[in-house]
Amino acid sequence: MNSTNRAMNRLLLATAGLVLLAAGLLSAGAGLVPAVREQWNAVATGLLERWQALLPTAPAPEPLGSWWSLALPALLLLGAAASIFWLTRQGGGRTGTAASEQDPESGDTAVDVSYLATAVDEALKGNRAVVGSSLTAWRHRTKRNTAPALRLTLQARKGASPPGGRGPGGGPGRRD
Amino acid sequence: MNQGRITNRIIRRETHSSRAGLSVLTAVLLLVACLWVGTESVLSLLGQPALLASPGHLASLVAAVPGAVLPAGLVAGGTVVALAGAGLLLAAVKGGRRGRRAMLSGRSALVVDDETIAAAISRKVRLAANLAPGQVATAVTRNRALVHVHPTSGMTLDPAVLTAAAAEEVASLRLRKTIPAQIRVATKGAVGR
Repeated sequence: MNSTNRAMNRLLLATAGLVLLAAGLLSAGAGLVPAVREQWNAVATGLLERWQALLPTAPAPEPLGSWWSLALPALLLLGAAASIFWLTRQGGGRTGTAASEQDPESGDTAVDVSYLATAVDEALKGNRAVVGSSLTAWRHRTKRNTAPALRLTLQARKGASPPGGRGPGGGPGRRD
Repeated sequence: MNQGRITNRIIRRETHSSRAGLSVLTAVLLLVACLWVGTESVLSLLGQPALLASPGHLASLVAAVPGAVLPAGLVAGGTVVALAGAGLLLAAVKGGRRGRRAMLSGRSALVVDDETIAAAISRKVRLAANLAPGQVATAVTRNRALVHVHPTSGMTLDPAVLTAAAAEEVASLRLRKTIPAQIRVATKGAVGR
């Protein structure tokens, strides 16, 4: 239960997919239809000419020549920054502190996840249906000052019934 | 947010893919492309020699692509790029189920792997039919559990017993959305055990 922004992932993937799809269809179309090829040449040459015509509208001291020359590196820097932002938004939210309390008189108290994990291990000792367990804590994305959510994963022995009286099995659960 | 909505949200996130892997791949490729063309443009601004090709050279190359590349090459390259784009688009739109499903629970968001369900059903059916391990295999798909039974040669199996055992196991799971169990008894038996 990490804090990946899934809606953003899907939106950006859809955008990238549409751009690639359009570019691919255009190239394939240029290979198949001569008219598309001519159009491509005309549009591309026109755009290059317009770019050349744009340069002298904002003259800058040498060696720059034109302020417009800075537009391309600036745009690409923006693109690189956006990619890095997208990368940093994957995962995150895991915390080692399962619970904490602040008290002005007795001070701060924090409970480490490993303490709870050991307790779970101890409680599952002798349970033949459960082979192993792992416990992690995750901060809420929306709520800042509440206790984190716990993700408890139990590995069931092959064939063990998940609900049965012999204990739960397989899959993560959560407790608040 | 109330408890029910938090639980639903956690279950949704546990049973569906976040598309993080594909996002990382796309973002890294985009980053590399931006950094490369950015470096080239700065180099050309400073009047330094280009690493591979200057932006102006690249632009004229792109403009001349239809004339410079054979039509068959254009079609092949375009198809590959279009397929990659369609793949990304599909990944963005499709659900991305992860082979897990939710169980009813009053206290927590409880999710169980399909493999665990399959193993539990197999064991239950195997015990009900008194078969050896390996004679029952279960596959849990999106909306049903398919149980393949390989009977011992010369022994007849009562399909009703097997179906009841599988159904009982599925019912005991208390899944949020229950799945029907189908039994397939193989026509060829396994040699005596």
